[in-house]
Amino acid sequence: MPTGVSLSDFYYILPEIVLSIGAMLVLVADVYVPRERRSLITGISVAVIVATALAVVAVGNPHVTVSRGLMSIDAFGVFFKLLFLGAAALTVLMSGPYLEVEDTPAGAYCFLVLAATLGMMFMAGGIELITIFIGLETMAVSFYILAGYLKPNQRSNEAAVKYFLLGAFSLGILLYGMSLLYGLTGSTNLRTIATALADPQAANRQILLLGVVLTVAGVGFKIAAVPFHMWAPDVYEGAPTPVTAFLSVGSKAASFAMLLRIFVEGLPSMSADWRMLFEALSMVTMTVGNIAAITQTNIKRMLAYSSIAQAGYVLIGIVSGTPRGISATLIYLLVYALMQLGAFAVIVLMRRRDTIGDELKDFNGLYFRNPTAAAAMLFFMLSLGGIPPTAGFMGKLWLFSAAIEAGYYWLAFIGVLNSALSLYYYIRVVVYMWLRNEPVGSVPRMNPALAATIVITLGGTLLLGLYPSPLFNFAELSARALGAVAATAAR
Amino acid sequence: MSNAANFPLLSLILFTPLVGAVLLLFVSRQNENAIKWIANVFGALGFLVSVPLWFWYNPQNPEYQFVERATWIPSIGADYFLGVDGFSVLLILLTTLMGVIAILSSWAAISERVKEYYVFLLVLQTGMLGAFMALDFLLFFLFWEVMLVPMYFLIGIWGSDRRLYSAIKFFLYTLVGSVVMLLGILALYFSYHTATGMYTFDITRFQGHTFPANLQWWVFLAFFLGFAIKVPMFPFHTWLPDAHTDAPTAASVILAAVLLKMGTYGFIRFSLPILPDASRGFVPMIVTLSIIGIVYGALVAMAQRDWKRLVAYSSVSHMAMVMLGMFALNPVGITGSIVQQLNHGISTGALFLLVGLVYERRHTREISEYGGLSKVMPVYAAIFLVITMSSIGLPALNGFIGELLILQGVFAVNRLWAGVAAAGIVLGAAYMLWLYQRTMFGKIENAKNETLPDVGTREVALFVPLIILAVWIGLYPSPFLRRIDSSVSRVIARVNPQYLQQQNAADCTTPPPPAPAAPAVVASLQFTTPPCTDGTARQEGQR
Repeated sequence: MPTGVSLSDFYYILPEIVLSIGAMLVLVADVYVPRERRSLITGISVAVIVATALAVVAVGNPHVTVSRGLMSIDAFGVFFKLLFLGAAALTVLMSGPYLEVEDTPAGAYCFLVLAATLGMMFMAGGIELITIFIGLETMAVSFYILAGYLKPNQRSNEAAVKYFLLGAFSLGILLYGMSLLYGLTGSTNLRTIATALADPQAANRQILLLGVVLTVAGVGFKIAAVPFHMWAPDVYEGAPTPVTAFLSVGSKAASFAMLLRIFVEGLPSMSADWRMLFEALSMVTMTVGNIAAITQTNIKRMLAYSSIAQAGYVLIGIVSGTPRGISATLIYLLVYALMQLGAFAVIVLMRRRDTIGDELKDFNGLYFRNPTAAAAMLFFMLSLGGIPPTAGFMGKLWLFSAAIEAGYYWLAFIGVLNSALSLYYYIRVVVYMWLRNEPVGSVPRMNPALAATIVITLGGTLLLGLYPSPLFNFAELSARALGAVAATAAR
Repeated sequence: MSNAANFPLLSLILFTPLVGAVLLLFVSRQNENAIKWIANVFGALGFLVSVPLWFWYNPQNPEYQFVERATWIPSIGADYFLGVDGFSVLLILLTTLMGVIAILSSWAAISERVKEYYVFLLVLQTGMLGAFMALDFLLFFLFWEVMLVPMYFLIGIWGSDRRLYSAIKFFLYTLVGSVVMLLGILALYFSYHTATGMYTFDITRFQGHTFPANLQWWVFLAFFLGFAIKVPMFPFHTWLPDAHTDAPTAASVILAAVLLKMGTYGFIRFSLPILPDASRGFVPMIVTLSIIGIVYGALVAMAQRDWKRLVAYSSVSHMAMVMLGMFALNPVGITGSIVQQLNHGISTGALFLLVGLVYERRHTREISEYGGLSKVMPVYAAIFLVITMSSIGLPALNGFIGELLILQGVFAVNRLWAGVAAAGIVLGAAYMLWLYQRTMFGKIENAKNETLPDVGTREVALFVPLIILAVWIGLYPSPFLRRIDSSVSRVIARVNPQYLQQQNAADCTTPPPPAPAAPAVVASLQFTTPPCTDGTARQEGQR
């Protein structure tokens, strides 16, 4: 471990620096740009994100640790950072038209999206509990504000308060778990923790177990795993739609990155215990999420439960713990980001001055009003349900194959049954859009930014469904960068 | 494995309908005539490009032919890998032919959302063809699932009264079966890797590999669920009457003629050769379900008041017969099972077309609404008569050949099974003839039927190829049997090798001695008819 901060460290965290400065630039620009010219602010934000992504690519994959082992610059981090940045860019793109309809200023909003992204990048890059926690806090606080960004809207306010209270509570639990780990090993660095715990006699097993359970619970809140999911539907429904999209994609992916860092990198010696916990969580999460989604009539709420279920699928990869399982987790998170953001872009499209557009019945006969949007939504729904030739199928294939390879047959069985069950409510959206002949409501008109979002997500969903090789290779490379994966491979 | 065409013939057949579908996307919604013409041209083109398969396929070569292979997802060993044997050649030709007929039959029947309708039909066509061609398990699964969505829309948008219910039932039912099947595929994939150190979805490799017996048992069950739902076998058939009844005519035709064959094709392509030990072990279960299906399907068909529902239940009965012949696990039975699949496609496809024609005229499917139609629609009645005879297995028509071979194969294994199956055939004749009598003969009781126009030229054209095929298979089936011979032998060599040993030992002129009274079904399978007494099925040159 290097003993001090050197100049090269600044080079390695160049992406984070670019993003921080860029985010502040957006705030400054907001002062000078008139409120109506939101597209300028969103444009600057997208430019900042692209610059950050370029920096991520430029720094590349040197596989070094920086600043006394606070962060690791490796392929795992690169994968997630690009995922977050992509999700943030798409979120900003779809936010422009949405904020315009809501008639809300864009400056602080975009700043908060960028700040949340910055937090996520620290969560994925950190190999040290404090770094990860600060990243998490940065992200969480940004989201608390974003959830309540629509000041006159009561649902939005309720969402923010709920999210804040439950979020603070869960962060407390997580922090308590982390402090136990620190107390037992004397270090907050995950790799040092792993080395310290490699000796089974090193720590009090009971307290260690308590630490693991509390950490699992804290992370469980963040990924909205059952039984820690109660906040998700209300927050998802009340928050501004693009924020919901970013919350369900970015925050979830970042929490999974954190989960992988903490458990795979820091606690490989406890893997039997946390695997068992996650296996139970996975089964319950998939099943409860899917069953609850069936009865929803609000599409944002339905997608909230759906995203709970999706987290259950992703956990399958973590339970498997093999290199294939870890890369399946990465693949699925990226695929999920594409289809979920795409679906939310269509929901944003439905939001117009006269309609909120997030009830299922608002999609009635959408096909007759805007066939392109209906077709795009069809593919997003099929992909979320895991029907080929969409990316969702390839992601699920990878997850289930990881479970079977690792011998978790029951988990895979419950997983596939759940994915069949989930089609029931995904198809219901299609029924509303395509099969009901009651064209009501006004005609949603495409806007260039929204069209771009939908084209990118739809293109990605279809392309990765037909030719997933590049993603598979990248994810495998990234999974192998994670410290202890090679060790678990021997299992 | 080879590609005699030296040309990606299979890809051409596979993607012709898809190209048509993509082209249609660019045609204006209002221009319905252009849409219909393009769809029909691509349907016909799809059939024309598949015709060379019939001539260029080499029946003597037991390997997969017209093989195309390209890497697809190298990291998991999945390839774009196509190839055909005797079974798939016939089923592909059936698919392309029924495709043309289905598209042509929709010309007047479909008047709303015409563009989407043809797009879905053409995409469905590509999905079905791909499933018959794929030699890579993942590719197969992809096409298998791709079929679901267009069919869902065809039933859900253009169907009748309870279309939403029937469509979702069809979708979820088949989906549950196929996701469980996916687990079975993955189990084979990893087991093969454990044994050989190689990650591959290559079906030809799986067919040459012996998987552990325990694994075979589980995977067979997983595949069984996927395929049995599709066939559909009793007790997984309940989606079929609903889907058929509510589907538009063309979708019913495709569903009956091709989609159901996916299940039986799955059994013969995957279950039997890849899981031979489990297949032998599950014979009692499959046979029991098949026999129940034959009798139950026929009895329920007899009780129907809805014309289309009656034909749907007859499908249950006929497909159970196909399964019974296949799980006789001898060459005659399997040959009969393949022939009967073609027959079912031809005759049941035609029956659904016939129902569709009167439905277009009267908008009711109640049998009691009709009666005496032969007076106003003589040509229609004549066509219906031929198809009815084909369906009930009258000699000189195709159904007879298939049922004869199946019964012969089953008889050799177990006389009781054959007896019950024969009873099912009699029941089949009963409900079909009764249907004919109630709709065609007698006085015209209902005034609305007095002015029904007889079938027109376009409508007659739909039936011409089907009737030609029915007569051809009925009178001279050798060209068909010859094409599947070597493929049948290959399956038998995997699933019932004792049979072949016995066959080699026995002289063709003297029948092998009957096996001693064997309690176990598997043991009694070794006793089969002498291969050479059945002049049609046994051609020289096999093995």
